[in-house]
Amino acid sequence: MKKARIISLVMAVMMIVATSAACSPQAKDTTSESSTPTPGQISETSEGEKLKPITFTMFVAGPGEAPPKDNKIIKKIQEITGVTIEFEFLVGDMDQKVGIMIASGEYPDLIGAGQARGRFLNARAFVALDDYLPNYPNLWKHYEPYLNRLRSISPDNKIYILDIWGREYWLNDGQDHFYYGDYNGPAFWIQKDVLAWDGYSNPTKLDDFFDLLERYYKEHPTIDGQPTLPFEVHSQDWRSFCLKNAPQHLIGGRNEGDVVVNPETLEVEIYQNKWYAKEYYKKLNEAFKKGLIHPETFTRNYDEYLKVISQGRVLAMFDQQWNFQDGENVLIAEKKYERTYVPIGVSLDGTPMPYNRYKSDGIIGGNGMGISIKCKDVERALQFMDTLLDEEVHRLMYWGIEGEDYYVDANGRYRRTQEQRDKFADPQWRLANSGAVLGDQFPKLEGRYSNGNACSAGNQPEEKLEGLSDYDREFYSHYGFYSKSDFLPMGKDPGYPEVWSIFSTMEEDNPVKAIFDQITDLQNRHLPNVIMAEDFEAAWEEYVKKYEQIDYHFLEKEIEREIRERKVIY
Amino acid sequence: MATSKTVSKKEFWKLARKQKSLILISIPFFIYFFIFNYLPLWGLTLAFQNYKPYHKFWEQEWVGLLHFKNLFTDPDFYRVMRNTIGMSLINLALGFITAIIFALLLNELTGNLYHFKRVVQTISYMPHFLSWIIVCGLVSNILSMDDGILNEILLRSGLIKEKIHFLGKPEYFWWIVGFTNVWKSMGWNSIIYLAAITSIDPCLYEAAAIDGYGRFGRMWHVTLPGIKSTIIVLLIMNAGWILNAGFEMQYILGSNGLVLDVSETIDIFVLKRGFGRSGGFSFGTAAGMFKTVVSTIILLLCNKIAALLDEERLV
Repeated sequence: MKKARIISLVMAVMMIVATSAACSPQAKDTTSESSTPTPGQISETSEGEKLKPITFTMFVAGPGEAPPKDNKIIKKIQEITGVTIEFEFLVGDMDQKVGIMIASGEYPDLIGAGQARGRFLNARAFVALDDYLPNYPNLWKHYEPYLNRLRSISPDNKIYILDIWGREYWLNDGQDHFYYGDYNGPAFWIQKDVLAWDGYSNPTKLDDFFDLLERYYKEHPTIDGQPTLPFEVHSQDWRSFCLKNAPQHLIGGRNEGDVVVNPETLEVEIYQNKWYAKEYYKKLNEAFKKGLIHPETFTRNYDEYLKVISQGRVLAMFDQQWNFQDGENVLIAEKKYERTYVPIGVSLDGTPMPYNRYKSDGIIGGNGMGISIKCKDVERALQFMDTLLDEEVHRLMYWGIEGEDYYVDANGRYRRTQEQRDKFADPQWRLANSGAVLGDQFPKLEGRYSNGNACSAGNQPEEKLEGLSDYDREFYSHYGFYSKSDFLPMGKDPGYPEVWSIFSTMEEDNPVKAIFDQITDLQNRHLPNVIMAEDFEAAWEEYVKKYEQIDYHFLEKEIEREIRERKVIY
Repeated sequence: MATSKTVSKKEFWKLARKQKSLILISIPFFIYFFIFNYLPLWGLTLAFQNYKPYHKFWEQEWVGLLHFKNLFTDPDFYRVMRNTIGMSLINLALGFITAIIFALLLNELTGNLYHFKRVVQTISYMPHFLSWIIVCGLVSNILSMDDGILNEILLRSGLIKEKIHFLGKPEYFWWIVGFTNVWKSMGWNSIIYLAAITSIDPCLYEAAAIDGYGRFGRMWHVTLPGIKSTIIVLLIMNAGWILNAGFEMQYILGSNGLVLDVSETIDIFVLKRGFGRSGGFSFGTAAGMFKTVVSTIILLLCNKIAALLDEERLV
């Protein structure tokens, strides 16, 4: 029986290890009372408790990095409000993380719901804010014109989610358009050097685009000693939109997600099995056979994808800029401006397409944050957000401390010295010294302050122009452009929220969701194989056949119905 | 437990008092098992409901075996079962054989080579302590087409003409998982065999040597029979894990469309459907429950077979 004893000893050791690992301290008590307040109550308590230190935990359903505790601006804001925010950013797969959070019911105080908002809403994770909002002057002013849109996304027509982007303030003095933000959405992004090498061209036809990549690749098989990767197709997890979303834009659609909407008739169609999708994947298949797409592009995880971009050897990809920004930032820090990217409005017939560049008409009831039912103190949280919308405090976050991070010139314009600009260009410095890392997760002012300056330094016209590197200034001058956004024509706002945003707030047990899951699964599995297929026609045939087994017409009809409903509210 | 029936109440308390230190020591484990292994069983009720997290228990809608029906009619389910069992068998076979052979070989390093044995043993079980995320990073580096060492070696030695996309080819995936498991756990798994070998009576070796057996003969006729019961106990225990083909590696390296068909195991399936899809909590629970039941049945079956063969048993 000696062996049995050895086994039991091993098992005992394993158990001890397991116990000690399991007994990590429990999260502190998060019970709360969220009774509906009366207006009088609020002003009393908020004055008295204004500076009593309080810490709110916040989960953000998107990638990011929590600022260090000693970030100078965040410290200042803490002095003003008494509030500390403890961030947890998403790592890994969003749906699973959110699912686990919902199943356990362990919510943080605040939730940056992002694309997961539908799941939080359906799990009744948020406190309804309808009765609270009128008590907070800044918040009320900010949201009052859009209450219907905020309500439209919830199952019971209440306000649960406050949009953090999209409420823009304009002065209508004919100067506003200089203050628009730079485009960072979906497009075919291409390295500036490739365009410069081709005599500053703008290849808006799909064939020309890949032809340019091929010609450039032939002459530059390596970049900085490493093999050139002419076209990357990232396809990991939810980021597979890089693989799937291009065809809708090739025929002029906005970024709706998985459907194309006819702006006139509001008819909806799934596009991944249509002729224009076929054209696109056929092109990718050709490109693969010519060696323009490296097979490893499909097995690279997100970090590896960012790595090859930061090495400057990826010539082009279909992506949204915020998704590859971290890789590009490395190139900027190393001053390799010729390896940074501009968007091209590629189409099948060569007409430049707007992709997702359009002037939105205010808040869409989309990307926002909510106060969870486990929040310690709903009023303090709202008070905090109300304070952040104060122009003074907002300037602190998005411009910094006067004299230290920016200065005011003789005309009352906010400006930065080159030294200050360089500091802000460094992501690490920004994380430790800028308040934007905090403000980005909360409701904020966009557009222009009442004194005419831009709400954030990045959109101040003088700063934009002077902040350009010499390379960029020269590069844009060849096109007569003001910024990279000008590569895309301006589209028209069709007057309803983007379909993916409608979609993400549908009820959990809506059968449309299951159909959508099937479609996503099919695309993720098959499209890489279609691109790599020896015999493209056969592979496409098989893929479309599988597609026909799914009842996607039902999904199309449901979405169409939803769009018509929203259109009324907008 | 046969004796407890015969002792009277008084004697029971007397015995308990005598063994109170033992009882005291075991209390934390009882609590541990109760909290982490028995309490969660309550959650299995989810499998029979249409679970909504914001509803109280009595407000849930009960649907009977609906989720099990959905599970067994789901074509994906059979695919993930195939993957799970396939990878598990490869892991089991490779892991078992290599650990035993490794232990046998290490055991032959005696006398002057004793220190060498120690060094080899230490190095070989180090990978056990690496987290899967690091191991997967190493694997994807080694197998990379870009600058991966394996492709370089194969190319330079003339064995292949073109670099192989190891991580993108479905036919390689199970074997990559298998061999990585071997690398990670061989050293660790061999410890238990080495321990068993030390308990073999040295006289047997001497007798075998006198009878004219060489090294391999002694390994075959003395060492192996000496650790047979350990091998069987471990085999039974591992059989219970047959539906645990792993999770991390398949999840990290296999989540791309090219190998998804062969990489998804039942654990990933449960996670994806349970947490990844909207409203899948109940379905995920049903799939997880199915897995547990099958594992238990297999474990008991193996135990029975071992009993029939008159070998050492677990229960």
